[in-house]
Amino acid sequence: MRQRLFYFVSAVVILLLMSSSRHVDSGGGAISVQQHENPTNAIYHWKTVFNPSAEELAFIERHDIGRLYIKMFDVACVKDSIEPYNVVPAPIATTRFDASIPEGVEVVPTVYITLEALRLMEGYECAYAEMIVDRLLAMVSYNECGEIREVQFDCDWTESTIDIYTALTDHAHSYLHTLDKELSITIRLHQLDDDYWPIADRGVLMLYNTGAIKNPSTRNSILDITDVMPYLRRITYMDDRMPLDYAYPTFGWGVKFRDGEFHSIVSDPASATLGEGETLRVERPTVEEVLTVKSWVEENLGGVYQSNIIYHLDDEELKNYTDDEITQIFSRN
Amino acid sequence: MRLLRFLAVISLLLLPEIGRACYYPWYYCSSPALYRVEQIDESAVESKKMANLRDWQQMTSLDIPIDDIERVVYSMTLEEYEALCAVEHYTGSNMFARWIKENDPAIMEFLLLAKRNEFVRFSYNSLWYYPTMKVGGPMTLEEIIDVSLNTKDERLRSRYMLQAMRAMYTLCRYDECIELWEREFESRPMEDTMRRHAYLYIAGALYHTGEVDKAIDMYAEAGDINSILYIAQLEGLDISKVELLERLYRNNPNNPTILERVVNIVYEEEGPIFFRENGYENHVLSNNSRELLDMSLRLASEGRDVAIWYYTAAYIYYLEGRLYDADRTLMLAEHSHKSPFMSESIEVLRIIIDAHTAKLDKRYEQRLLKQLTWLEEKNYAYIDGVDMNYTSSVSFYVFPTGLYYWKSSMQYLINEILVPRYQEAGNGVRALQLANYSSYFLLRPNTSIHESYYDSDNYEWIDMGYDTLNDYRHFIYGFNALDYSTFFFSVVDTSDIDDVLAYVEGANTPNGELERLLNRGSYLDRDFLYDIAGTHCLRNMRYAEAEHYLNEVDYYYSNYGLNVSQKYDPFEFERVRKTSGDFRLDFAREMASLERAMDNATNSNVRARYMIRYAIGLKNSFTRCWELTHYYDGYVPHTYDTHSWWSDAHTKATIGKANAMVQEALSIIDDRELAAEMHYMFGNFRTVALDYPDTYYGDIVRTQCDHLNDYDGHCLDKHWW
Repeated sequence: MRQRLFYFVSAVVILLLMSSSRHVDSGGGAISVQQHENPTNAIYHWKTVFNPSAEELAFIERHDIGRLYIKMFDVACVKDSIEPYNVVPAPIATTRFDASIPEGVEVVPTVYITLEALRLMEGYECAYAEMIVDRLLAMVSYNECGEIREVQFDCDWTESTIDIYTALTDHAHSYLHTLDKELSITIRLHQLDDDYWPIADRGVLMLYNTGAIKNPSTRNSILDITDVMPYLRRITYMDDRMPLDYAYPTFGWGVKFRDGEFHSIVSDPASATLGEGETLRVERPTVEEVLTVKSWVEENLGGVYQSNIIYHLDDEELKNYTDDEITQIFSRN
Repeated sequence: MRLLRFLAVISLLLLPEIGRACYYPWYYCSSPALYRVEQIDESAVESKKMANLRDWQQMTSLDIPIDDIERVVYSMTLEEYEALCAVEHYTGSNMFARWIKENDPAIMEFLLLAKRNEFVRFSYNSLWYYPTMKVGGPMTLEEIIDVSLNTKDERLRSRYMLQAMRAMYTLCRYDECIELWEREFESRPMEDTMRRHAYLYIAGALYHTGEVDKAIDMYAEAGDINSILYIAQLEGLDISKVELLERLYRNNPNNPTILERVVNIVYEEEGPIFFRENGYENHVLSNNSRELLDMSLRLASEGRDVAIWYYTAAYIYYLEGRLYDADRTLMLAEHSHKSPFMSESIEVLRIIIDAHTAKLDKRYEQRLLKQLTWLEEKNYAYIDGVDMNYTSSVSFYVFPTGLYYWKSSMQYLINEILVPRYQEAGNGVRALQLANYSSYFLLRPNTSIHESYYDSDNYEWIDMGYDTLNDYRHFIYGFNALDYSTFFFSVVDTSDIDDVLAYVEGANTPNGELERLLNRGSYLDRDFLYDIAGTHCLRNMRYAEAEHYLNEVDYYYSNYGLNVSQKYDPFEFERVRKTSGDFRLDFAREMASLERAMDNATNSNVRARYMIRYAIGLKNSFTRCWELTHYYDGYVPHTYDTHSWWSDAHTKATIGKANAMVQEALSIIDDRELAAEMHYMFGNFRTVALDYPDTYYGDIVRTQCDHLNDYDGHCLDKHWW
């Protein structure tokens, strides 16, 4: 009995100790509590021209957005201009800056790296890491984006490419530290339970594009809580993982199928016309769905590290959400 | 400082060719030796660049020189141009710069954008380029595109659109390139300068977007065969070079690159034949040449440029060694409508084929006279038009360097066809006449030549300036690198002695018009020829005749006009230094005298002494003192097919004869003292010790050498046996 009492007291003490620094996940595993550092609301800019409309600028101001993750360019496979029979990783879709960065907003220059380009970087990760960082910083400097503290790499790495990506981020991370800057990376849900993550100072968990878009039976490929939960339930150990911010979707689209086969994404489903044999699956996460996922994520993975991030800065999409709804998404525990 | 007159008559400018000429003794030239088609002068078709410059001139002022426009538009760097933009008042002398600075800020602005575009595009070759600082204008390709597409300047619109297209292309935005082309350029007239500039970008863009066939068609229309071949290689398309040529030709027969390519194919085919790697007979054509032959026959039979294509086909047949087909096909070219230029090319090929097939009789030689006369005129006409600054080297006239069509035609005809044929037919004299003519017909006594010396201590060539050919021959101080390394020399040096003597004897008494023509172009210097004749006699042990010919050679020439000189006494068993101006004549006299003495000697011991001296002289004249019988002992610059006489049968037989004479001489001596002396001289110490112990030399061997076996055979320092 004394022995049982000892075990019980010990457990309570441990739980009390944990409760001061950790949440308890639903599966009983330990997860990290994240420190709030430079907390602010943040939003992605994922267009090839940076020229926010008046409404978008007002949105930034109204919601006290202090950080803009701006996609600067993609790294994709490109035929070498000198030796076209060589395909090389190179920047494409470079963002053009037609407007200044709103005052007081920190920019996180972001690069999207395709898997094909990543594969071509094998063996040359160090060189490409520096080229990517240098170009991001050159763009920041040229387009007067202000002081930069962080650079973000976005890549949908897989089991077969994680080593290449790790080598890339490892070198970028070291290189950025010599410049007194940090590296963050995006993490998709399916990457949550990978044995390890590529090296970075922190990550952004992307809580959108969770479903298989081309599958006709998918209910909502942008965000479906039934897709999200299995990943979250599997997370048990976050101790040695990097701190995370969370990115939530505030966009929608239509997915057109023809004769049961995926056909195309329709940006404005309201005005889409359908031909014979065509169906349109309109996808837009409701704010309730987003908030449900948000609570589950925070419950399972801990509070956000710096920011809740909205994807993405587009008035046509954002106007589907009320200010209050946006505020709820941004809210930090 | 030790100066070697190693190669005294070459132009320094031509040194690289000289080196290779040693290995490829015949045709070394940068264009086909015998194939000549009338190519369209590319410079006659106004280039896109020139058209652009003229457009700028039209747009500004016709008083502005094109060179000034070129300087600003093409040559000026971005930095220089930015400086031009920055100054308030232009004070330089460039009229275009002044005009646009004072009158046309729109052009100033456009050129700044264009130069930035080129600068960024160049930097963009890394694909990762991005500027870091703003400089008051567009500095990224995206910005350049944007500014260009949004121009309001209708006058410069097409130029701005071209800049946009260039930037788009560099950014791999090929679909936009194509859209821009369709919107802005496609409907413009074909000759529009900006359309012409945009054309190849579009071909490239089409290729990159997967429209390979369209891209090839556009490249074909532009005559850009390189791009087509490149694409074909990338795409793994089985398109041959000739197939493309035909496609281009059918598209635009006036495309200047077509015949240029044809010429290149022929040139590639000629090389192995004329360098004698494989020889002319049974030559297997390359695939390109085979296809070119088929194409030529096909186009000619369709009535397209009949003379050119039948001529081309005939020449390829010739290269393949199919003389009959070449002859028949050339006949078709001869009977077609042809330009005076092509008539000449056809005529040369006819002469070549004729030289192969004709019976070498009087009728042929009458034709040959006309043919050589005509070729000579063509050569002289060409030479007179050549800038002498580049032809002052004698190499240009005599050696393969500086080869051009008319010279190569003449020399190929004679050197490669007629000389071997006449030799084979037993007419060695005619072969020598032709060879001499072929080597010297372009040289004139006052021809200026360039002398260079090789300083072997400092490993450098020393330019000694210019001389006339005449001065060169008379003040060369012992190394004539010219006359003893020509094609004629190689022929005369290796000809049968009777042919050589007959040629030399009759050299100045020509018989008939052909010989007169050949003599006019030949080098018939008496010293030169008689020395060759005398040397041949020495080589063939015809010493009395040698004496006759060498006696006619001027002492000065023997001393200073040759390319060799005496080093050792030929009659010494040991190596004893000796120099004499008349060394060949002296040797001939002594050998002739010894022959007479041997014949007349009644005493066997005396006869043996003569025989041994004769044998020593004979052997030395092919070994240590080879200069007596030859003009070179190995490598000679420019020499055609240097003959390895050291190991030939004649040399071996002659040395064998000398050895036999020594053996015979030793066997007939009955004076024991003399016999011991002779055996001692030849190193037969064992014989001296055992057979002649009581003689003077027997005593030397016995008293100085304890172990007779050590001296069996030859002594180390007496290389005779």
